[in-house]
This record gives sequence, C-alpha cells and structure tokens, in this order.
Amino acid sequence: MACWNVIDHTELSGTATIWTKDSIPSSYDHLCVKTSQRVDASVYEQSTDLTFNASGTGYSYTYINTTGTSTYTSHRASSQGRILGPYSSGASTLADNFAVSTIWIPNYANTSNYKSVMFSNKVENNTHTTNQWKILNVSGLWSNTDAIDEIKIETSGGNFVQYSSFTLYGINGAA
Amino acid sequence: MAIMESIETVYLEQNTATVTFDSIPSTYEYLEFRMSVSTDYTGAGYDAIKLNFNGDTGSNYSEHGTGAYSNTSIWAHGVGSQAYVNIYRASALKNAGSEYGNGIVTIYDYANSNKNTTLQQSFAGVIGGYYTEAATYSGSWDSTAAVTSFVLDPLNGSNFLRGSEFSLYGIKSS
Repeated sequence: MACWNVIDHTELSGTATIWTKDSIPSSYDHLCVKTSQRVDASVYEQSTDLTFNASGTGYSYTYINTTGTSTYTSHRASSQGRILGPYSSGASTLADNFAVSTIWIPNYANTSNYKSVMFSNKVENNTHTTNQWKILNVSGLWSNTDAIDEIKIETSGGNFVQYSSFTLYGINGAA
Repeated sequence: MAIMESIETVYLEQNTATVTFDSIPSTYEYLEFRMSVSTDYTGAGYDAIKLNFNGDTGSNYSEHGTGAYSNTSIWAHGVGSQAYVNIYRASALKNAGSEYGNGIVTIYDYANSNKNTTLQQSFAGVIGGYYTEAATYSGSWDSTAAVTSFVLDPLNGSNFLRGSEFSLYGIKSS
C-alpha cells in the first residue's frame, strides 16, 4: 500500500480566487497540501482563508509571524469563520517568485475528534526590508467532528495568478 | 506507483570538500532533501552549507529565516541578494566531530519553467555540545530554469566531515 497518494494537483491555467477540492475520500490517515501561490494584487504578501466542508464557523488559530530582523508577532484568534491560510506572494515581490507552504491535516476523517491543522508558509523576496517578506507558522483548529471532505483556500485580495499550484496528498499509515 | 522516491543518498566515508547532485530528473513536482552534517570549521560550534543550483554562482539567491538557540531570544536573518543560498545547520569540528546538525529542505517548482525555484527548510543544530538551535528558513533562486544539479559546500569550513549524510528524494504530483 502506497504511503503517499495524489488526490488532486491543480496548476492554474489562468487567474482564480479559490482553490477547492471536494469529494475527498476518507480512506487515508492524514492529508498534506503543498501550495505555490502568487496573486496579482500590488502588495508584497496577501493572506488567504482556509476552510473545510464549506463551513463558516468553529475555527481558531494561533500564529508566529516574522517579517523583519526584529519584527516578530504572535496572535491567537478564536470563534473565527476561517483559519488564516497561507500567504501568497504579491505582485510587488520579485517576478516569478511564488510563496510556498506545506499544510498538514492529521486524522482528517476521524469523526470523534476536532480537526487540527499546522503549516509553515514562506513568502520569499530578494530584499530584507521589513514587511516585504514573511515566515508564518500557523496552528489551527476546526471544532467539528465531521470528516473533512472538502478543502478551500481563498485569496483575501486579488487573484491567484497563472501557474499557482495546489497539490493534495492522502497519507496512509500502516495497514 | 510510489509518489515519493529516493533519488540519491550520499554518505561520506571520508572528509569531503564538495557534494554534488547532478542529472536530477525533471519528473517530480518537488524535491526533498534531508541531511545530517558536520564540517571541519573550528571557529565556532556550527557552520552552514552553501547551495548553488545548476552551477550558477551569480548574485541570484535570497534567504530569510527565524529561529532560537536560547531561552531568551528569537532571531531573524535575511539576505536579499547573494551568490548562494545557505542550508542549515551543520555542526562543526569545534564540537569534536561527534555532533551532526540536521535539516529537511523542500525545493518547490524546481522543474517549472514559469516559476523561480523556492525552498523552505526546518533544521536543528547542535552549536556547542550543550545547546541546540531550532529554526525555519526560506530561500529562492531567481531563475526559471529547471534545476538539474546542485552543489553543496561548507560555508566556513573546508570539508564536510566523515559520517555526514545527504539524501535527496523526489515527490510526484500525479
């Protein structure tokens, strides 16, 4: 039995504001999403919203955010309509740079547990000026015992540009 | 069909100045690189590793990172333009050669001719026998050329120490 399995790979052929994958089978132990995102908004970094099963309630998250040599912030939010998702590179960053992230969703199909999420996200740029790059580490929780069968990442501004990509893997444990 | 495949592992039987991965196939979506490394640098308990893609030594690389090595401070580091991207963390001979730093590096879009190659990494390093360092980094190469090779050199030392190990994996998307 293969450990890693591709559920979906989407590389945008044009602009879009949303990547979503529904009908996710419940047959894996964990989900992993690798993203490579850029938006056409004239910013250095653009946030996204991460939601499950088209639900707009029950989310909380905590993050550590670094955007400068001495600029660190942390934040905790509860009773949210979404988890703060991975940031995209904006049009003000170096051309052809795409922000990257790896998102893990353990035990996504377990109907006894709330669903936790963790990811590391990097907006790389060819400058060290504060707020023109980002390192973001997020821990999130969806307080719902439903099995996750849909994932959506929606940009909060602008459009995901062509070649932005999202790959969803299902990860098996030992049989 | 395996989605994650081993491309090559290099285990150093003797001290070695340079490690090269070449003829990297373009058939994967991502590369993942895992390492356990020490160098012969004696100026500190730690070292870094310079990485160059496709032999490019121009000032086409950037890197940013944040981490901690004490219970009182968090640091951040970044360079907007330099001739290599650093991979962290190697331990160094000052630690008597008995400690090896480790890291996991994911290289995104390495074969995509429409995107610059970007990497992110997490690492832990031993920096003096008693203390460890934990951090996360990103880096990019300002080129849309497909990565077919990369070279690793110690940043400060002359050689990687015997026992260092580098493993390269490919991760497919279909």
